[in-house]
Amino acid sequence: MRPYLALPCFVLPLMALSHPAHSATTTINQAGQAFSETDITIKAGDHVKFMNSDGVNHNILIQSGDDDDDAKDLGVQPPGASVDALFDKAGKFKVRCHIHPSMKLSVEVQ
Amino acid sequence: MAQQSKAFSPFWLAPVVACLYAPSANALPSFAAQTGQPCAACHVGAFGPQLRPYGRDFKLNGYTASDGGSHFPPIAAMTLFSFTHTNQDQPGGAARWFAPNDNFALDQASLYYAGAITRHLGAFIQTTYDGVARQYQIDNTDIRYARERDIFGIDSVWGLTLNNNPTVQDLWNSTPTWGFPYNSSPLARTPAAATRIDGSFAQNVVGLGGYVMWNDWVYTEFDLYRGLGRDIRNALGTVPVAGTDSVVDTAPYWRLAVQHDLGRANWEIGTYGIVAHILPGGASPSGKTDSFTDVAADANWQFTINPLNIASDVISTHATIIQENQDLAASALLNGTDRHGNLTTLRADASYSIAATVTPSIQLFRTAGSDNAAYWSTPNGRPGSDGAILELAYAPFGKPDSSIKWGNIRLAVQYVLYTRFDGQTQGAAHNDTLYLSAWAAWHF
Repeated sequence: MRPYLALPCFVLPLMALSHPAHSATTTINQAGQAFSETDITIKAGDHVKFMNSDGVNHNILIQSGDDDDDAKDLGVQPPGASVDALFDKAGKFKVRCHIHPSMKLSVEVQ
Repeated sequence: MAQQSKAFSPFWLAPVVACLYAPSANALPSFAAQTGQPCAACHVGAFGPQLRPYGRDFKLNGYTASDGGSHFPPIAAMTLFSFTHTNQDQPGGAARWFAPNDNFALDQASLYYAGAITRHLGAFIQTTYDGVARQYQIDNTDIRYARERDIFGIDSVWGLTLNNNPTVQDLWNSTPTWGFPYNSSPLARTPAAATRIDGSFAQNVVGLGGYVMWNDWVYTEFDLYRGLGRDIRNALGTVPVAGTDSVVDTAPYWRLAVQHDLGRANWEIGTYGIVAHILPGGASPSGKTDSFTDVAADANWQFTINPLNIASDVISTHATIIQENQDLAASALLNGTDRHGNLTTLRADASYSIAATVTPSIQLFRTAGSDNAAYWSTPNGRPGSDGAILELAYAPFGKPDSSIKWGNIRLAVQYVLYTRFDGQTQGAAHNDTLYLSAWAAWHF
């Protein structure tokens, strides 16, 4: 192999490693027993940060279908705490608070 | 007052013994413990049963909302002590075992299963020792299964309810079971005439119904009730049973409400009602029954001053009007009553809860209907009663920063005044009642 052909083969993978695809974070606030948004659209690999600005606990559930039996449970979130969720697959997700059923957020992951 | 042979049943000791051994470390009312929320999150004035939007959601979703921890079994207890003074003594005593006036009483001691059974199945089951009748009984019961589903692409909640009292399953405090006043003296005279849906079915029926809340806007429910037989009611401790009315056939109950939560304000307007066929005194002359059609309208409005503060001031108003049409075929044969009659009840109340701690309330009420001398147990055969109820309640705990987390207490002063009582204005004030109560609840 000629040296000038070997260079890009070596450098390009390094460049890819040193400049990963940009991962965005969307912040959703929880206050007054409500999410700050009702619908958001993000890209696969993005994160959503849930902040609890209420004076009471919250508990995020993320479900991919109509059924919440296999929902992802982010656990109890005390006042002032934040919790991060990675949405790594495309689709439509329902986000609920297990404690406050009226808190509803739709997440579309493209 | 009719008494049962089980008046001194040892079952009444159960809640008392439970009180004595209540461990304080985990002694939160069971709903609060299950959700990790203080009482004030669900209840106006930080003490039930007046619900805030979150309390209605919790009930709508089958009492199953949870912080994910293990709280099984969700057992809670309640006691209610009182003092009653009426403007005029009641000759012979306010009740058996009680003086004609100025009575202290243990009104109730209750044990509850109140919370989730499975992820989508929950229950509110109350068993009560009635300290005035001195009787242990199964009290209000509402077992629910609820799921969230898209209906026509819109978020909705559907569910099933198995209960023993029409309106015990209702989400709003304008309907009879959970309406104001939330407690009242069992040792004061109360008006004789009331519509059937206004409490007469409690624990005498069992019903299964389905409901849907569509898009947080439209609530519909339909239930079918059957009367419980005398033996079953005896076994469940419903008092009094001997010689009381029995519900026959199936009684359909409906509920339709339009509602919405706008953040600070929430409102509801709706209708509910029931059609029931009843054997007066349990007797069936010539196979005839009395038929009652109760049609009601109701409205609610609540305003939360600061929705970000669980212990915010809250203004609440509730109103209902119940129109009952009566076809008294059986009573006309048995007792010579008029064949047809009607009764209308109107109630409206307002409260301002200050910091979920001090809650003054007022209610105006009116009942009027057709004269029926052989039917109403009133001096002149008229059913009408008018008056007002004033109340000041104090609940020191149940807020996010409360020093005591394991329970709550509600102290209240209530005054009931009558401008007309059982069809008469003269002497109506003799029935005015001062009622002091201490109501405590805690979780095991």
